[in-house]
Amino acid sequence: MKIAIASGKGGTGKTTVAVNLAAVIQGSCLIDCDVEEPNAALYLNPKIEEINKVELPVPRLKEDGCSYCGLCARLCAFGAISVLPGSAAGKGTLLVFDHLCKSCGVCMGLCPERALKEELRAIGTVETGNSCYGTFARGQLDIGEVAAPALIRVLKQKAIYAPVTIIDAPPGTSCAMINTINGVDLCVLVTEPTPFGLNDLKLAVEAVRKASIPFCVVINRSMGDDEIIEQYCRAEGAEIAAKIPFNMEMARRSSEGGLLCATGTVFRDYFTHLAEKVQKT
Amino acid sequence: MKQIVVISGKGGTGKTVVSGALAALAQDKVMADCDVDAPNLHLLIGAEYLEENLFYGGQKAFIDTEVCVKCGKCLEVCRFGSITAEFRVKQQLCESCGYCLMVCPAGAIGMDKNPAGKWFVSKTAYGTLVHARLEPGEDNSGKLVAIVRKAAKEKAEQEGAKYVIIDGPPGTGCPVMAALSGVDTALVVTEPGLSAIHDMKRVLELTDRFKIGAMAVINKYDISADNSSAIRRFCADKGIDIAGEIPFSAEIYGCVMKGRPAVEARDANGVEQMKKIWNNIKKRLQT
Amino acid sequence: MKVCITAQDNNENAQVDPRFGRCAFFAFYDTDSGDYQFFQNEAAFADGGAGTKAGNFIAGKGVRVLMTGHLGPNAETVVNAAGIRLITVNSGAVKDVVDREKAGFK
Repeated sequence: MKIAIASGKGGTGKTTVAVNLAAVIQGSCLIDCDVEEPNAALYLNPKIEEINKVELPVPRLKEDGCSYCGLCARLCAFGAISVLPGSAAGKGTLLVFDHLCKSCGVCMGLCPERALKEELRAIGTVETGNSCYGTFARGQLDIGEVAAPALIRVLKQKAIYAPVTIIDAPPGTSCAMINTINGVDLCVLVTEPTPFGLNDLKLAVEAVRKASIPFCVVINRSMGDDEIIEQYCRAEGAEIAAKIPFNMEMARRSSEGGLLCATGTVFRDYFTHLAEKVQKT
Repeated sequence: MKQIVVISGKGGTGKTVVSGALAALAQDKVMADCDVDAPNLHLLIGAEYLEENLFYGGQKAFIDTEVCVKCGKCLEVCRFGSITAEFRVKQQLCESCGYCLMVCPAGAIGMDKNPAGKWFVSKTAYGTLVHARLEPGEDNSGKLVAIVRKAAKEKAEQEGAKYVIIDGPPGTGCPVMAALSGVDTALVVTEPGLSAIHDMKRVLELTDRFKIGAMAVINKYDISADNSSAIRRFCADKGIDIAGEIPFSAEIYGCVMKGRPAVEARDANGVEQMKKIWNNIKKRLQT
Repeated sequence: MKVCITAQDNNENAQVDPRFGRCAFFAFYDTDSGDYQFFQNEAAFADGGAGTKAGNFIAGKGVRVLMTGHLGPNAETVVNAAGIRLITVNSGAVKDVVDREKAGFK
């Protein structure tokens, strides 16, 4: 089963829940789909065994054949091509702006001279390996790149799945998040008992419902009174699968890259219970 | 007029809490919430909506099934898997390239405006706020950020405001770049956790690339003394000033829980630090 | 020779639009006849690539001198590659900035 850990808001403890869940389920798989800020490895210390570049095709001029008619530049919806016609003084120029290109193939497919070919350009990496808890995969988008959904699609193909796969989703309800939760069996929405947490939980619920994915809620940093979230969940018929209390020791340990589920600690129970619950749904 | 953006890389480090504090401290400013995927600032400073505007994302293809001859050309050329075997367009996956429309022999395909969100101008107790809300799964947040920033700048000009304070989006992607471009200074809010430090470094690569001067804020600095020293060392090496250090405090947390700006917290040291942050920003902008 | 000035409206008294890719109008001034021609900038409403689209448009029209406020990096690449000379102007009416810079159009 594939379980995505998501949250409308960043910093609610999504990664903390994801890595600790993966650690209490023996032989699990963890996929870090937060490709702008992949952080799960800081906690699970996986040994990376394979690094694959993720590449997208961009157009390039073949050695000859271009008449500099400019059709490709006019057809490109993204303004990714510029064609400057030649003059008596010399040949024309064709410029490609790689960052604007979405690899749709219009320019190459519709060139009357068939003068364009495609070349692969790296936008990031997908890494796979093993931690002592199971298999691990993560994607990392190069700085300044914007094609997170494309990278996530490749990452989800390359990962080595286990009977239980935990997917750390990007924060928010962006296109990248929608691509991440596409095809999972359950979404765990992590929130905190603040007005921010509630506001963003509502957005996340809207997104998972639109994608028709079952979900449950985890309240992190509970300070006892969680009525703000509980009231909403009651009204929406959403299950609260766990409450993780706010605790200075937990905050410190997590901030230093420690897992909270080391054997013999009181914190471990929160995650073993949550693991049982989510596997039952 | 000067523009200040508050960013963090990692979400949840206290970006909005700091922005909310600046909203309460700064005079003569317009606020802009550019976290259009999960806007929160309005919860902290209260908002009375004055204007509501529709935001249109990229046009999406649609197929007129009455005209369609089911030849399959569109299916063949679409690289985004957005056309189904029944010749319908999955608009969430359409990237608006128009290839299908260009190859359709029957003229059955058109492009349609796609309402992708809303943006608002609101009145708050701390001045004008421009904010927005993107529909889930929409991928044009950079453009919506640009609209919010443009509207905020225009409001600031109308009001003769001295500052535009921008609450930025998390991450390092397209919306962050849209929030950063052309600002006068960036305030990077981090906390002494490994993830937050890692992400601060990534977001500073971005400010470098845009040649925008940055200052740092360490939020909850007392959670880990070791990590806070590591941040100070890193910033000293990079020549990045630390504008202030906010302690972890149940008072501040409680204040935010109630939906009030953190400067109202009964935590003298924390509030002092927030004032110091704003003074450091002002000083930076004068030179 | 054709000179392009980015403008906020479609007449010679309009203010210069300091943006290039997303300016409202292009004013084309013909140095031989002294005539103006105005075009709406279709790229102003583009989702992306406004700078290159606007650059493609003026390069295609054979502009030799461009007067505008700010060029983005992509637009700058197109304008440079097309050999268009750039004069930076941030404000003023179209006809005033043309009169002021006229001597330099060669």
